Order: sequence, then structure tokens, then C-alpha cells
Amino acid sequence: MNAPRIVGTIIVRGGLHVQSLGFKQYFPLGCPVESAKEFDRWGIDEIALILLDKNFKLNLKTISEVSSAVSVPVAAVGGVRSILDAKAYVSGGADKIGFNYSLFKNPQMVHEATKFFGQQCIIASIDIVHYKSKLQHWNYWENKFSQYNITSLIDKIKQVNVGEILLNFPEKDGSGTGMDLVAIKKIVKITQIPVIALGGVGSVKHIVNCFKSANPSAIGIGNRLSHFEHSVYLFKKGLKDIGAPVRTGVNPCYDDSMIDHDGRPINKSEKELEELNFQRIEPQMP
Amino acid sequence: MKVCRRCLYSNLHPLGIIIDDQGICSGCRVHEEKNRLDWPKRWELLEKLVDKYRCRSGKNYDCIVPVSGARDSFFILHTVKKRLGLNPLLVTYNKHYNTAVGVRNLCRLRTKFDCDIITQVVDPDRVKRITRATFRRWGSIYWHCLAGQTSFPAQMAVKMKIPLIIWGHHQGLDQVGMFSHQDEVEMTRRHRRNHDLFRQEADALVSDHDFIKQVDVNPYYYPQDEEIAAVGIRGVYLGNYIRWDTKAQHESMIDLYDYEAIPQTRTFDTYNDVDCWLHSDLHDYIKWVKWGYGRATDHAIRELRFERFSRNEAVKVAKKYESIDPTSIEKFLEWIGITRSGFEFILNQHKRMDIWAFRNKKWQYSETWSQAHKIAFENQENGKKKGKAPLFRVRKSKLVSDQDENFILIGKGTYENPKEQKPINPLK
Repeated sequence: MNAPRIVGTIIVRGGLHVQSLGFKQYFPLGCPVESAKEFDRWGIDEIALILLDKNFKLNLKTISEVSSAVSVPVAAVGGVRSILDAKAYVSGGADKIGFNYSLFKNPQMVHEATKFFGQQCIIASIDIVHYKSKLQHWNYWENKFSQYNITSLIDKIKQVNVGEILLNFPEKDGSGTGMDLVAIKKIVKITQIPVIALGGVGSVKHIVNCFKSANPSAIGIGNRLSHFEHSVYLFKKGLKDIGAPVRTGVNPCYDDSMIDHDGRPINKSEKELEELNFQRIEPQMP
Repeated sequence: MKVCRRCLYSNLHPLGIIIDDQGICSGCRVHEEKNRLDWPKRWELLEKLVDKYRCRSGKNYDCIVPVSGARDSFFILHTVKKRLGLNPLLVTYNKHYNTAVGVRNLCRLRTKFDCDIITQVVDPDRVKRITRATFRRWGSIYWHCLAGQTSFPAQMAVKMKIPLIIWGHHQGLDQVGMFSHQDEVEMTRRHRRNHDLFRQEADALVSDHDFIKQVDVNPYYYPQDEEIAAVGIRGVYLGNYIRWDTKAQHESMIDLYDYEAIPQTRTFDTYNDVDCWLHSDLHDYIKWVKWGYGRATDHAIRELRFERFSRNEAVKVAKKYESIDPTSIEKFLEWIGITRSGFEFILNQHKRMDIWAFRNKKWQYSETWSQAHKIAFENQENGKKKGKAPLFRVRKSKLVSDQDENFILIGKGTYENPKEQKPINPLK
């Protein structure tokens, strides 16, 4: 059983890293580069920069600053309309490029991109909603349902031969109440392409549930990572504690701590804290 | 550039702001939660959270409370000590620009709450060298205060093995809606570096040019990740659990603990930042020169969101205070040792050129700025102002224990009962 990657998603809107709530409301967090640096130091497996401004491109400076500041792969999603855009993103330092709009408007170009950069470099980014108890593709640029249901959508994606699918769920986005397990399970089942599932992670339990029932190749966490210090360490620690497979090898900061259901640290006992007075706390190498 | 239809913030706010499809900013949206959330229930969450951190043996403190003597210090301590029944250790970073009122308020705080306090006073020569560098590089005379106020409590938490730090409200949440109250955001290094310290750690200041060595910036380091993890440090914000209204809180503290409140140069609020010569004065003037708005705008927006001002009143008040010249500039120039012309020269290099334009031989708001404010004014939302204009109480102690003309590095303070004076009505 492969351990799922934990992907830190950084939603960029108006040049800012934002919290996104249901694709409707956004809260400004700050500079995307600063967030990426922290996620990287805390042991994230991958970073996805997702641009939400319509008709805009990601700032190349942001991509290059992020990719030079971190040591993990960076996926840049959004704003790619041509091969030239894609080349600019890649030369700016993005390891992967995500397409959403072009996947439907210009699939030929996406197909060419997979040939040019290799399949591993191209991600299909799609949004799924529940509609009349069925799964339907959500057309974000016109804010409505598209004609694709889940089967026809996957067929379409298979045609362009992408390397990965980034699945997002507007209804779950930013809710922190758990992932859309039914949908993720269904999509993982009918496609052989690796899936990055996003939307709704609020605690360690949500990640475990998703992994156990749907088994995507990666799970993305967005807003929650910015709510408290060392969130990635703590989420990974939580996964390790319950025996879930997890990619460690990062700084084992919290090895002798406990965490609560939310992923936040539980205070140590008085005795443990007292003993710390006589211990040397050293920076540990990964 | 866009301006919120409800408040006066634009999306060029230094903390970043998102204006939604209805033209309302994220700060106003998060403020709506203050009238929507079940606050007694949120208070229970806080009680449950802090209960785990009580040191039952009494050998150590339960938590650390960073205080300055002003800005909600009394309310935070009242909540922590009287309502939650914790045994806090107070820590304070000496900001070097102290006023006599600030010294007296801090003395009152120490005495009336019966708490232990640890103060960090960094060598003034070192602070001056650092301030010269930060003013030149980022146009900030307050860097050392922000860096010290945020790193010292964390450093003490590591040293004393006290895992809980209790802060007041989260500035980003309150002003621009960085988080929802329900996110229960905690203190992070990212927020500190990104928003308080111009995206730089203290190391960035080390340079031969400014005569700053590594040892000089030691007080401004945030603890290492390993140290934070070993002690399990968490910095929680009371604003997530209490319906935060700083005006009402200060007024209740005045009645309970004789808090002193004095008029300030560039804002009508007489409660916040009375401890500092520069905060609502030169520091605020710098903010206005750089960003096109000052503390008076922040405070007017705060009152506007609490429905105590209408939007037009907020505009009027902000305009009245924003052009007032700072009174303590000479004090500062003498303290730091630079000339007025040098000061102006450096300051103008940090102006935002999308906000300001040089026309008719003087600095004026740019076309885009004026246009955006005009559009917001024309489409403004009907405010829900209730009742009369808010009054800000003024009370000052007569007994003088420290000189009251210049920055006080270390003062004695007294805690006699201050005399009530005529309150300030911002609309007059």
C-alpha cells in the first residue's frame, strides 16, 4: 500500500494566498511564498499553487519565488491558455501544470502539452458537484453545471492523456467537515489516472477516512494548514499514530507529544515539562 | 483598486483584503459573525481549552500573558485572572517610546492584579541602530517593537516551559477578515514574519553597513521549531471566544481598575496605544504617508462596523485626523540622531506610488485612489447606525512620578485614582 502524498494547496487570488470557502468567499492570508516556505519546512510532500482569478495568469515571480524557496515539487494550476504559458510556468520553476478551462475549450493544446512536457507534468483540474443525486462537472468560469457527467468527463480526460487529476468539490471547499468520500471513491475506481483529492479536510480523521475508503494517490489540505503552527508536522504525526501510511522522514518534532482530534498539540504533563528543564533541545536534521 | 461599500478599506490594505461580488470586504464579512455566533458557547470552548493547561501542583505558571499596559492589557488580564482563574506570568517588551501614562497604567496593572512580570529592556544603543536600519530599508520605526512584542513572549514560553500564551484579538482577523472566528486561529511564525516584519527574519538586519551584528538581533528571534514543539507552545487569541469590542472593554476596565485614558494626536480613540509617544503620532503619520490612511481610519471603521458611526461620519472623522502633523517628531529625531530632511527623504522613498501622485508641487491622492473612493461612496451601503455619537472618556492622574516630556526608558509609576475630564466626541 502506497502512502498518500499530502499536498499543501495555496489558493491565490489577487496575488494573495487566500482561504477559500465554497468557491464564493475568500479571506486574505498573505503572501503565497511565505506560506509555501512554512509548509515546506513542516514536511509537506507537494505544493499546489491554484490561481483563482478568472482571465489572469499566475504571477511568474510568485511561481519562481515559491519553487526556489521550497524543496518539494510545485504544481501551478490555473491561467494556462497556451503552450507558451505552460512553457513560461515551467521555466519559472513549476514541476507540474494544471489545466481546467483549456481542458474543455482547447483539449488539442493540452494534448500537445502532454507530448511536449511529458504526461507526468500535466494535471487535469476538475470541480465536481452533486446534482440531483448524481455527480456532475462544475463549470467554474461560467458558474454553472456543464454537460459532462462523471463518466463522460473521465473519458474526456483520458483522451488528452494527462498524468494526474486534481479533484475539487465546491460544496466541500473550506468547510472543514470532511471530504466527499462517495465521489472520490467513485472517480478513483473508474479511472487509472492518479487522483489528488481536495476539499473539506478539517482534521486527521478526515484524511484517514478518505485514504481508507477511497485511496487516492494524494490528499490536498488548504485552509486548515494556515490555522495553527506546525500543522503539517501535526497532521502527519496524527496519521502515524493511528498506523496510517504516511511519508515521514521530516523533522520528528512532535514524536513524544500527543495531538487532539483537530490536529493541535495536547499539553504535556507537568512532569514532562519539568524534565525539559534538564534536557537540551537541539535542531534536528531531517 | 477597489474600496469596500460598507467600510473604507481598499484592497491595497497592507494586510491584504478581498472585496467580494457584492462590493463588501472580507473584514466586514467576518465582522458579521460577531452578531451571528453563539458567544456563550464559544466561551465554553475557551474554558475547556485552558482547563487542560492549569498547573495543578502550582509549581509553574498556567500561562503567559503578553502585556503593554495599554491596548486591552487590562481586559485580557481581567479575563485570564478573574474570569478563567488562571495564574499568568506577564511579559512585556519595553518599547523605549514609553509615556508617563503608559508607565502609570503598567504600574496599576502589576499592582491591582497581583501578578509577576518579566520585562525585556534591550540596550537602547542597539535599538537605535536597528531602528535606523529598519527605517531606511522598510520605512518602519516600529519594527523593533513588533518583533520584540511577538518574539519575547514565545522566548519566555520556551525558557519557562509554559506552553500556553494568551493574546487579545487577532489584528488580521479584526481588520481584514483573515480568518473566521470559528477557525480558532493560533499564533504562527508565518503571520509574524509576513505581516509584522516585512517578510524578513531578524537575520536580514545583520550588516556591517548598519553596524548590526548577529548578537544585536538575538532578542528578536522567534524560537526554533524544535523548541516550540518540545514545549508544545500554542498562542491562542481571546478574540475567537469573546465578542471583541475594544471600546466597551476599555470602558468597563476604567470603572474596575482606574485605567488612564488620554487624547491622542492622530486619532479620536483615547484608550488604545496611550502608552507610546509615537504610535498614534509619528508611526501613524508614516503609515499615512506610505499607505494613504492612518489609525483614525482604522478606528473609524471599527466604530462603523459596530454601528456607532454612519459611513459618512467615518469618512469625515478619518479626514479630520489624517492630515494632523505629528507632534513628537522632534523627540524621535533627537533620540535616533537623524535630521528632519533626511527623515523626509527616506520616508518619501517608501510611498506607495499607486496611492500617491506628485501634482502641483505637492503629494496628493492618485487618480485611481480618488476614483475608487468615489465609486464606493456613490454605491455605499445604507449604514445601520443607532443612537448618538460614541464618546471617548478622558482621565488623567495628577500625581507625577516620572517626567512627562520625553520617552521614558524605565519609569516608576503610581496607581492613584485619575481624574475624569471632559470626554472626546469624535464628530465635533
